[in-house]
Amino acid sequence: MKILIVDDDLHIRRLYKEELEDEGYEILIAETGAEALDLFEKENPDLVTLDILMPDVDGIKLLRQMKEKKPQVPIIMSTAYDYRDDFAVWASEAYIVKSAELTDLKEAIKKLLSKPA
Amino acid sequence: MTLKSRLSIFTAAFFLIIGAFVSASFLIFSQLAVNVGNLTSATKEHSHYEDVKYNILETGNAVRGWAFSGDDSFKSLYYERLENTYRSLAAFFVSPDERKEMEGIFNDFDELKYMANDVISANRPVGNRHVALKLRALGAMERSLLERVEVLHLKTVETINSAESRFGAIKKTMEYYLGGLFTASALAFFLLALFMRRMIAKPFNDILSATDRIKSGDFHYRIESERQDEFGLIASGFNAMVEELHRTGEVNEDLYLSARRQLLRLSSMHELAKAITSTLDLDELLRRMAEDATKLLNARGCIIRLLEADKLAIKASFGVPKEIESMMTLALGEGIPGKVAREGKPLLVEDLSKMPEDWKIPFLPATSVMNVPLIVRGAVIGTLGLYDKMAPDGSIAVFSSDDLNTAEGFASLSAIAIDKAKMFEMVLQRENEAIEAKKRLDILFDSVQGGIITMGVDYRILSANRFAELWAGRPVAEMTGKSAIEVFHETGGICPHCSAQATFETGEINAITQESGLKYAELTSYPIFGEDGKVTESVVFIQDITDRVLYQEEMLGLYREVTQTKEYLESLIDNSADAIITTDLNRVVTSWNHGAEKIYGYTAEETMGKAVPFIAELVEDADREHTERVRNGEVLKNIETSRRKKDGTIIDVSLTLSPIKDASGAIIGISGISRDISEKKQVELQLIRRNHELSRLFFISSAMRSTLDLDRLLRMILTAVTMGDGLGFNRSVLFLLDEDRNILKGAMGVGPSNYEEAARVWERLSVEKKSLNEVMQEIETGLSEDSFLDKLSAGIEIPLDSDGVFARAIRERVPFNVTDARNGSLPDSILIQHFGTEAYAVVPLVSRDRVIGVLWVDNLFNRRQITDEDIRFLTAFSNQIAAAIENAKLFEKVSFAEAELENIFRSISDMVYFTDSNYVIKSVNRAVIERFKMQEKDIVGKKCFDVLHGRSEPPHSCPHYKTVTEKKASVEEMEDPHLGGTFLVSTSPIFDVPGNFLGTVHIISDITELKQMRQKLANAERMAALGEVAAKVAHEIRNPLVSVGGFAQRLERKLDGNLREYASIITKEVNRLEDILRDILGFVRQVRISRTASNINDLLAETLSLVRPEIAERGITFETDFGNVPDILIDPDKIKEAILNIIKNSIQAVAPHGRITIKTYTWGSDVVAEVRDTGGGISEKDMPFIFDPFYTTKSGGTGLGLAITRRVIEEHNGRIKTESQIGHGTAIQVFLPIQKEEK
Repeated sequence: MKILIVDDDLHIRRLYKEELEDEGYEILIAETGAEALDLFEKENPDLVTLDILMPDVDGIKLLRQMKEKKPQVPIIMSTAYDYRDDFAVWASEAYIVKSAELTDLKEAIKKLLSKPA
Repeated sequence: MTLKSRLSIFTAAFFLIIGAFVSASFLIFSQLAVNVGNLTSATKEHSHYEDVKYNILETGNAVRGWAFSGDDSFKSLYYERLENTYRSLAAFFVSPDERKEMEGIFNDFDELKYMANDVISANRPVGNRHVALKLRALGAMERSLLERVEVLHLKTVETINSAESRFGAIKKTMEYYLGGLFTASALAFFLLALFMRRMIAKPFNDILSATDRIKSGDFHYRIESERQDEFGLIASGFNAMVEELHRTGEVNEDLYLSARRQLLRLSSMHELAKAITSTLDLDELLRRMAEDATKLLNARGCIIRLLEADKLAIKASFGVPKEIESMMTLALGEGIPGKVAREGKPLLVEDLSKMPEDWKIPFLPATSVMNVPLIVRGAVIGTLGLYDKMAPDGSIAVFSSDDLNTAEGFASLSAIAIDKAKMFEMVLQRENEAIEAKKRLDILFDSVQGGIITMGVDYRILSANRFAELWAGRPVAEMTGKSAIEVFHETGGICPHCSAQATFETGEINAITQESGLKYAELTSYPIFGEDGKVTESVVFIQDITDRVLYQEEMLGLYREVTQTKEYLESLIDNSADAIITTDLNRVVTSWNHGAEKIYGYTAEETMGKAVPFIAELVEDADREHTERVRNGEVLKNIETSRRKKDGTIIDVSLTLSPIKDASGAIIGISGISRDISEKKQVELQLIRRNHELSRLFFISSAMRSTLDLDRLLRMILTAVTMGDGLGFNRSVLFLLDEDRNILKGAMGVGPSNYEEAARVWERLSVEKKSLNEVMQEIETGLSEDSFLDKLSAGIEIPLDSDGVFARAIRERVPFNVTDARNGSLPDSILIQHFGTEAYAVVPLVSRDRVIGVLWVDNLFNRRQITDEDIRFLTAFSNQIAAAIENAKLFEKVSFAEAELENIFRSISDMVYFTDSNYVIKSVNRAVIERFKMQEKDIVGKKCFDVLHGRSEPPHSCPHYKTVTEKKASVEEMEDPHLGGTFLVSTSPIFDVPGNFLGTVHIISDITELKQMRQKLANAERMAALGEVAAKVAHEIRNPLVSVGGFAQRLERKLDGNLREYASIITKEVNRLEDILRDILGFVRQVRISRTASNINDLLAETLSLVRPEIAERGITFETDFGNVPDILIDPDKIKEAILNIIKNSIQAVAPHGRITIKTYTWGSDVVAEVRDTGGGISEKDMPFIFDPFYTTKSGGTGLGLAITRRVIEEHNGRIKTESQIGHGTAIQVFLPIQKEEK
């Protein structure tokens, strides 16, 4: 299973990559919106985690662009701040607040990938 | 070319054609499929857009629902709608079309959502100004969004439409194609058939025709084929075969010929039989039979006889001289035919010369005779005789038994044919007779003077005659075959089917009369029975009976009229109060009305048919004379005479006698109308009696004093004036003085409206015997009602500057007695006009030296003269009346004023109460009672601070305390835990006339909610702003925190010992930090803005420095006039922004070299910042909206500047005032309240 991680924070990217690779997933990484879209189209990831607040691109906009291209790919919005009442994220499949404990993230991924397509 | 190759070519051609058709079909169907695909995707998109529109609307509605109701259920509804909207929008991510536009819509919806979130996060949305503003913006955004979606939506509609029109084109193509297909295939198959015929069918036909020739015995025929193919081989074989046949054929030929002759005879007989049975004309038939029989049997001749009245007459012959036919009529048993006919058996005589003499046939030399009977259904109808069989060589031969058989066969067939022909002749004759009869009937049918319609049981018209056209309004041709219901229903006239219906049901003749417009018709229906005895048809005769009916109607109308007149007259006579009596010429009573009964005491039963019973002895002579005069036709009017009643008393009557004439003018009786005038003569007596009843009037006045209700009082007065027990006038009307308008106004009237009512009232009073006392009580309890006279008098206004009786009565304060208003010296036309009276009296009402009105009386109905005595009496009474009225009026005024005050006090929604000088509550209104949920008696009498504040001493902050100590009015906003809220309290002192402090009046309005709302609105705004900052901070802190914690966890897993413990500590601490961060963010989202004490002048100076370059660039003159203003508690940045927006607007409004003036000053309890420009001004149309969000008149403006300004100023509890004049400029003043300290 291929997961695309989109985050502007270098360390977060690395942390997610290592933790998820330990879980046995294949990980793609993107820092900018353009990079993310490029990988999303070419590498056909099975799932995407997306940071909402990034400097070059609005996470919500990116979510929309990805959904436009492949609505079937599940997207998890992860954020440092609670945007739960920002309803743009309703277009995503899951929403988690970033935490050092990655259990929320891992559970969400497991749940979404185990779903029949 | 061989047959095989020919068939191959044919097959190949066939498949080629089919192939072409199939490929063309594929082409068209693929086109169709593509179009269906297009349409499906467009339809799908179409429904998506519907979805989006619906969801956006619903989201907006949920927000509005929350904003208007504050009901939490809308909140959750909102989240649900929002989710739905995003889901429906997300559905478009897959749609390849309009992606860019959808992105725009998505962005717009985000905007909409931010606005909506603002509204949703407001704690008390109802009545919240900010929420209202947001809602307005949200509405605008929602509309623009919906419009955008609508554009896309419409596009899909266009796509669908174009797909549909393409369907049309394809359909047309298909039609052409199918047409072409049909033509092409027909052509192709025609060509194929030609080919087949030429190449394959012709050779076969050659062989077939050869076979036919050979079959018919031509064995010389040969097929001439040059062909080298299979057909050539067949031809040569065939020819050989024919050669062989030819040889064997010759042997059999003789045998064949003899058999053939036998057959020929049989078949010719069959043909004969066929021929004769096909002829229906009897003579012709018999002739042909004779001929055919002769030829069939090779005889010399044939004679056919038919049995008619026991004679056998010759009907036809052949080979016999015609002249003998008439000579050879035979009787039964006479000759050979007679014998055959009698026996019913055939006879064969081989040689007639050997037979007895009577067998011989006269006039006919015959040797061999054969005779057979013609038998039908066992009865002989005639004979068929044949004589002299002829051999082929011309000699005479003898008939054989074979011939007899043949003849018998022929005869049996002939007999049937003859019978048939006879029957046909009979039928023909009958038919002719029927046609003749029908012709006669038709003539009859059309010439009958009335409509005739025949109809079946289904009411279908079978026939109709010319006269029926008049009723149906259409020609016969258009009637027949149609339903009578339909035909006659349309004309709205008569209904023949209604008449026929009864006939169909009962089977009997039915007659009804009907009306059609101005015509009347009598419809008679007759049944026509079918063979089974049931009614199958009905003939309806329609007769115009209009004349007959009209004559009857006229008679009836006349009769009714006469009856009515009679009844009317009778009732008139019967109901008259006068005695109306008719007698014959001998004074025998013929009628006696109720009036007569009442006046004379005799009933009609007692007097009818007897001589008039009431003639007093002393007037008998005079009466006789009167009778005589009337008999001579004279009418005697108003004779005064005396009559005796049944009880013997003598009464005075006024009598009118007139003759009764019959239609021819002869006098047949006398009518007399008499009126009792005894009463008139008793008036004086009554007057005396009335004086005796003065004591009763004392009762009246005491009753009047006891009531203070003006209306009832007036009615009592007028009733007393008009009651027989009282002053006894017929009618009285009270007029009251309106000093302001200097008029007299009719206030009330009592009395009957006309003679009838007067009579009724008096009668009732005499029956009920109500005393004045009782009537007074009725009035007191409100039982009496408004009379006609009330209504009449209420409309009357009499000006007092006139010279009429009323004006003088008021001016001179004396009563007037007018005896003849029409001719007198004191006319008052209004009175005559309204009351129809000629004699009346007027008495002024004087109370405490003031005239308050006039009492008017008359005796219209009994015509009693008003005497001086009456006037004196009335005048004495009038003084009491005036006093009573005056009292009642005063009382009414006071009580009205009191009630009004009480009402206001009770119904005011603020709490109002009075206290005395010592804080004791004297009176409270409903609002107070409701507020404290106590009984009024539990509040009144207590100290106010006890009830309101729950204290034992008045609080010094209370304005009441100030009012009591300073004796001045005071207003204060006050927060009180006991009252539970914030209140605006106003107290005012009450002083009496000399100036002593009596107590206070308090008005307390609850402003708690207002205040709280303001507070919450401001809070919500601040929270939202801080929330956005917090989000950014959180991102900055949380991300590194997650990294630290995350990697620490990884370390923890990989290390052991001390190092593992350290990593674990890091992990735990990071978790703790995350918890703290979460808590802080949760708190920070409740944004708060703090005010600081700032000076508006400083803020303005800072603001101006931002715009100075622009001002200089535009060449605008700029002036400032900063007054000495105190520091106020404001949010400096927000206020700066607010004022900057105003200034920016002014800069844009003024032309180059214009002027902008900025002033600050103190105004009451506010600091004012004023921006004044010399720009174009704001139109009246724009004025109400300039502070609304998104309202802009500039091309590049966002429309948010002044909206922000207003929001900011309102957050500071300030206000904005705008003055503008088109062409002169605009002044905007910002008022900010000065506060000592913040609560």
